[in-house]
Amino acid sequence: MSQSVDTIVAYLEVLHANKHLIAEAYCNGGIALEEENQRKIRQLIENRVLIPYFQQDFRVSPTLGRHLDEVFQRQRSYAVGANFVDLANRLRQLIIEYTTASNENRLDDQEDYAAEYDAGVFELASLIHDELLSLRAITENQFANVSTMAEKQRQNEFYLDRAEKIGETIALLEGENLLGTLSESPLLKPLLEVYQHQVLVKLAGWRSTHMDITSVLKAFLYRLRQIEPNARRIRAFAHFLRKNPDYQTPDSESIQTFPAWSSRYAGLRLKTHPDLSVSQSRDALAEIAQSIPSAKISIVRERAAGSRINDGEVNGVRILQPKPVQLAFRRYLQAASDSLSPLSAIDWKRKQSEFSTLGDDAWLLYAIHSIEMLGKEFKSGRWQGIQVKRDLAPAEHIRSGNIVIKDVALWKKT
Amino acid sequence: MFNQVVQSLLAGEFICQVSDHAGFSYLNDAAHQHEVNTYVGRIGLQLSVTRQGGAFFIAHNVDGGVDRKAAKEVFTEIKQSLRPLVSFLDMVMRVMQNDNLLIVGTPIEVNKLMAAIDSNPSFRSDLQTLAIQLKVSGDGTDRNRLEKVLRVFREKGYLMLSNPEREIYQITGKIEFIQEVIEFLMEHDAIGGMEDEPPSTQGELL
Repeated sequence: MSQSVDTIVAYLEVLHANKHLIAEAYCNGGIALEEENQRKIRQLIENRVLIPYFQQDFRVSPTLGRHLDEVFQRQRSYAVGANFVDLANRLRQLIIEYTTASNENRLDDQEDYAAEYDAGVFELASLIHDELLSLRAITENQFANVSTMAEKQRQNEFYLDRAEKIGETIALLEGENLLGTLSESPLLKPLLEVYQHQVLVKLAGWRSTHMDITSVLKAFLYRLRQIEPNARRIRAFAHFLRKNPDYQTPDSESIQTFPAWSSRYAGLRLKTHPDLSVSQSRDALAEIAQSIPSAKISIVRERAAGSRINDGEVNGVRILQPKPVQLAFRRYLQAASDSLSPLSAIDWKRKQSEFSTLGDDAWLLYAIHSIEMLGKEFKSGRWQGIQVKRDLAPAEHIRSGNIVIKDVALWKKT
Repeated sequence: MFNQVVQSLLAGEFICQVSDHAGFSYLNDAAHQHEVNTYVGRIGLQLSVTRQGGAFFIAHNVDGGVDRKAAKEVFTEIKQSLRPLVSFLDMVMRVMQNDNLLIVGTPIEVNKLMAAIDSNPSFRSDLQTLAIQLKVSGDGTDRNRLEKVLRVFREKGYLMLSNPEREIYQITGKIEFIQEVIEFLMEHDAIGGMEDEPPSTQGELL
């Protein structure tokens, strides 16, 4: 392992060992010197990772910050990219030095210049690619990092200028100035190959992306510039409508030249039906059909004139079944009419096993209510002569007003 | 994506970055535009875009002359909906004290709008007038009135409820269509108020 590689590994290990501190400083825009982190901060300052900012505060070095911005696609307003023209001029200078070293047979220098040139072309290509990516992201989110239209407009104009500079660089890279120099001497063939591989094959893609970005930026700028007149127009029109409540938009018959928007298609709601003959979809359709709850069916039979509903059908007559309590009272009344001594309702019910499910309270309540309802019948009707006697519990208080009925008895008076 | 986009367009919808972000990106590709145009062209229609490029929609192919019946339908719809829409846009700009709202994607926060309306009797009166124009009835509160008004414009495709929890609406690309309509009507009926504004065209700027 060479010395330089060891040094770089050691440097990266410093970064790794202090990763939390660096991340904190990057995300929070700086870090304060404290007792527990002072040793680490000193180490990072020595390695040019942190730079003193103000008294005890330190910030991530701008070069590392830019690298992290790029990796994490963090957008900075008015971010200044590389100076492409200077980078391209540097390449031309390296080509000249390479040629001179070659002519003077300084092979080591020639090799160094070739390596420098290779790295320079790579850097330029990489920067153009990154700048285009960044511009594309900015144009696609329409300057979402700023809120007001005025800010958006200023940023739009700034980035249009950046895009223009990339356009100039692309033109420079495919122009005769650099390419012509590389092509004119067989001595420069290795440099031309590097240029071919790193730049020329990518130029068409860069040009197309650059055109896309420029057109989007221009269209957006146009829209931004239209906002104010549009707003004023709507305000003026709203004002006009308020002043002229009877105003009606013109009828289409009165229009000589139709505007483009009037040809808008009103639309049609499409409705499709499953084709049950297609076997591939049958299982899926069956599954869907099973998932639909069954519909409630209600059949309304209309009565034909001169006939009854359900006339002639088996279920035409509904026989109402009495409830057990109704049946029990009926039988109790029958038993009481045959009894010459008071027949307690509670005692009678308890002796009837078929009515064992009836509760005493419910039974007594129903019996009392029914006896009251039959009051006239006991005097002169069908149940004439039936006597009623209530078994009352003593009142808890003389003035409470409560009457507590414990039982009721019926019998036939002779 | 082709299926979804064509079905939306044929249903008469406007496709913009707010209403259908993926569909809008799809239609921004020239190859896809050609594909859609070829398809709808067979039934006498064509893919159109608003002048500002913020929304795609389907129009009748006018190569063989304007379809007067279709144009009549559009004019009738405009006649019925223009007045409340203009009142609404004007009110929102005045209430929010911001003329830069009328652009695709601008958020409209119901809470902020309501707070501003609440603080000014004139805005409350405007809202009530607007509710009457739109024939919306509610429980009598301004909040309910505003919600119903916003719902109407959402149903008409001018707004999209992008955040139901925080009640944030966004203006859709259809706004650009109505801006073109207003521009035409003001020119046609010689409605003043824009005398100081020189007519601008995209060609000049680009």
